[in-house]
Amino acid sequence: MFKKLTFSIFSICFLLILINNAFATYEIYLRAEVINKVLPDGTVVPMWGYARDSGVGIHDGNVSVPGPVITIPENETNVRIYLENNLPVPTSIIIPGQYQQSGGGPVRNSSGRIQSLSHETPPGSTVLYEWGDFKPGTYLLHSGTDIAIQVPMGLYCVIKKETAPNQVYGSNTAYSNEAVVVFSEIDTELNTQVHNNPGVGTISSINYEPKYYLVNGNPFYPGITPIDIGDIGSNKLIRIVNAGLKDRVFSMGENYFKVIAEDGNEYPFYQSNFAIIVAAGQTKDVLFTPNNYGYYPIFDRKLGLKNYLQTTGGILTYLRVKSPNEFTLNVNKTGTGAGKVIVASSPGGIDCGNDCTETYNENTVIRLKAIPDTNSKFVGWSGGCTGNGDCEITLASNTSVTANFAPLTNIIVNYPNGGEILKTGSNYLISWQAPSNASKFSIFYSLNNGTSWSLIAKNITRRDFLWNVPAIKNNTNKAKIRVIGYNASNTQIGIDSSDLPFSIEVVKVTSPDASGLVFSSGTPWQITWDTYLTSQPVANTIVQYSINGGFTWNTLAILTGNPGSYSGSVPRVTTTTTKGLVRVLLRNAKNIVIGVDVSDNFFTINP
Amino acid sequence: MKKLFYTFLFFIISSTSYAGIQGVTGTSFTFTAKDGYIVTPDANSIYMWGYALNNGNMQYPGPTLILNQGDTVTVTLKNTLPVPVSIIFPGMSNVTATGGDAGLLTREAKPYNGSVTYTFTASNPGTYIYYSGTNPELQVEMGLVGAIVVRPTGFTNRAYNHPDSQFDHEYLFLLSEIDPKIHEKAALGKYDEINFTDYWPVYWLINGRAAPDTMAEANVPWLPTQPYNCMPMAHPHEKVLLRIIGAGRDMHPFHTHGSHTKVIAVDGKLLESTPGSGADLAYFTFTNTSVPGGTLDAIYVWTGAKMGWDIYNHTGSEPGICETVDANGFDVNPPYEYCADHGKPFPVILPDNKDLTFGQFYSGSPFLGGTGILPPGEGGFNPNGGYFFMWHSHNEKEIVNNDIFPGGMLTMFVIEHPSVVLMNP
Repeated sequence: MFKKLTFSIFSICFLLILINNAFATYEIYLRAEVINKVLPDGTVVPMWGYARDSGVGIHDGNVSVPGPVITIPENETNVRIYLENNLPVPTSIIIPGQYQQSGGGPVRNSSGRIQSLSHETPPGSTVLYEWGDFKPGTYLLHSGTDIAIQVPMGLYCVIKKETAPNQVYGSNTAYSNEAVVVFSEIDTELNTQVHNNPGVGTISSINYEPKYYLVNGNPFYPGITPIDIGDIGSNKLIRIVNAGLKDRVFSMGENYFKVIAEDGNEYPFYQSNFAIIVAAGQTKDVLFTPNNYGYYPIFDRKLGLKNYLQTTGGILTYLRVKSPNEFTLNVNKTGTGAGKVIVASSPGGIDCGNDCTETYNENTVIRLKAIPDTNSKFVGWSGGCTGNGDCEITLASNTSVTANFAPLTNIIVNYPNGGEILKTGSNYLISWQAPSNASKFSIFYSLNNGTSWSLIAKNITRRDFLWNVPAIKNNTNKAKIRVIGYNASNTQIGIDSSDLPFSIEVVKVTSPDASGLVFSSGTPWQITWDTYLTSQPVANTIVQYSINGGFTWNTLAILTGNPGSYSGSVPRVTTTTTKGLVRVLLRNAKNIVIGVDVSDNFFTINP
Repeated sequence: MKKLFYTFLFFIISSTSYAGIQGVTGTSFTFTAKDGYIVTPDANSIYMWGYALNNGNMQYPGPTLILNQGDTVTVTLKNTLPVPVSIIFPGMSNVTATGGDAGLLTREAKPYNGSVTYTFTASNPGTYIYYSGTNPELQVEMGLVGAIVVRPTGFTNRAYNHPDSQFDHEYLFLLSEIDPKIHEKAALGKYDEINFTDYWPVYWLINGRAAPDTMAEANVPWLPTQPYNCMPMAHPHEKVLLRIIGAGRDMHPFHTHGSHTKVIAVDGKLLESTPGSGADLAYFTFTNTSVPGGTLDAIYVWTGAKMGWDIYNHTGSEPGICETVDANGFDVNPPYEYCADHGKPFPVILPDNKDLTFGQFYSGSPFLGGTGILPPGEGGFNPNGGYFFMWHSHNEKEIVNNDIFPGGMLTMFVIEHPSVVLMNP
């Protein structure tokens, strides 16, 4: 009898264990913490983030915003999340689209208003949240307390589950690699106010105005690492989650992608799109099949692409389809000056700065830009690049490039610096570098290679000036710009001019102008010219031609006003000339020439 | 005899298809990125950047390219702006770029005198957008955006390769918005002082014009940098294709009074369950929300059904009308009148003119094609007695010009009597 009893107890326990495993429960240990997030431009912003630990009270996870991506294994149906709250305020968890089991909610404040959609975790406690029959798909997990504040503070992460390995929903949604793309924002003002005054309901989000647009927690910066998406030719799954408070538009530039699901629900039919709305709080799954090795952009076509008063930032990143061969680009800096080198093109990867090495696909085209510090100048490249402009490399081997920076002791005019062609009446941005003790500048222009100078503007405090090019009397190719810098005591501390002259055009012959033109005597032709801003009104225009390279000129017509074109016949020649030119003279009411231009190239006239 | 004559007359006029899309054709184009100004109906002028065709006037939006399916197209972009510029072509195939400098999204032309060349294949018919891939948050706002229409092989009156996309008239609705603060800063070269986080548009435009300029003719000399208009017109029963493009950064709920639309395609792809099944996933809506950077094609038809009165002012004794009725209740002969209403009188006695106030769109008669006596100076905008329906952004604050109503993202769609020759651009 005793033996029988033991056997029965054993079998009952065995049965209980079996039953428990049939409703498999997956346990997750999340922790909410206050952190300081450092953005790529150095801004530090207080945030609240999640960490995933290996057990209750074991603080071995990293706190991040967004929080860690949580994957529920396919065979698990019950999900238990133990939330440890180290924030100064109560918090909670909800997963829109999944039905929470245990506990209660909503929680109301003393005036009866709902402050939490789910039961709360008080500060310093750990509380259990539970879901049964967890559905497959892509979901957003976020705080259910004081949502308008706690979500922008950073309490969000992605939670996902498959139907089968490498298959999100039905059999048409199989994929080889996946990428998670989380859109969100930061309003640094809101975060600072909440950090200083964290009580639930104390800060209003009515003036919410994001200053930063983020993809996977960071705005674009030149050192960004692309998301590795595997090899060509197979379906890639991109899980798009908008954890922000504003709608976004997911775009991959010129590429189509297939939208297969929304909010964890598979569509009965898939559509191909190149721009889709991802509303605040929404998730969308898309499939993308890359046919070529390379880098594919992902960006927000709602144009959250520039952070507050910064250069390009915002929602832009790249997917990388790795080529069979890859090479490393290494950047070094040398010299006694300071500066950084960035990749100014797709696909980013270097912000040197501190991120000076990156491995790229074979034959990736990369444009490097050297940016000197305020008190330095960029002398030039050596190694894989030459000169002192931007450097474009097609990476066909491991390459090293060095940027040489020297201290800036004087002013350097950058634009215009020689060879440019400016049009009268147009706007041109004159720009220069100057040491940091320069507080104001005077700008001059010359039309005679620096023999004499006319003032453009003075007391300029910026290091650039939008110059409205004045109407001068005639085209010139001897123009220069000069910048003089003064310190705060009005002492001149630097001076520089354009290294070489540039041109200013009042009028330009546009046809015949190109090289290699051939005409036959007596056939019809049309002479055309563009006129920019003239110093006085044009009363008449003379159109002339030369067959000896400009030694002598014959008049074709004197036109009233300035019609911009003249139709006539190609002049007759008895022998072929290869030195044909056309000249247009604009004259004022007193027949004084106020603009003249000649064809840039000789043309040929055959008899 | 009379019956045959009327039938014949209606048949001639209603079978003609007018092209309502202004644009340029070909396979090789040169664009010059240059600056200029556009004019708004509240007498403001706004500094813009646009793609000019060849070296012509800057235009907003850029030239609409009308291509044929399968064409290999080259676009050479020359730049005269003080910033680098580029173009990306979503939905086009095999896009390659040569020249210029490598950029974040595509190759770019250097400032002032740079050049870059793009080549692509217009593999699939439909409605597409192109825009600058350089700092799009600034350059799209400044005006560097345009439309592409690709015609299916062999058809000029279909949007796609299926009869479901057949239309009688087509019109472009390129929707955008303008925040003048940004343009003022750009005009001064102060790009680093431009703040997009407090973006606040006060102008809304269709094809580069704000109402009522949307309703002027195309290519009017007093709008030299805004060549395109938006003045859709049709006869009853004709299919009007709306090619709606979200050119800016905001969504716009574009609402068609008078009838719903049937959305047949999005982003250049027919809403089809399997390839070749036609637009069997099309849906009906009277408000189409444009997606920034996205396109959609929708077909609108006005039939005049179920008004409860005869819109042609028939007494019911006219011969040859509604003698044979189709399954939907329309006359089988043009103008396909709704027979249940044939001969029904206007349901109210119109008040005397002295008891009415008038709008400019009233012809003096409630009947289609009808005109009537109006007090001196009244009416005038409706010489053919058509019906005017407001097509507009239903985000009502967008139908103003800097707070002045009417304006903004608004136009009038006109149904004209079948015998009227449409005044299309």
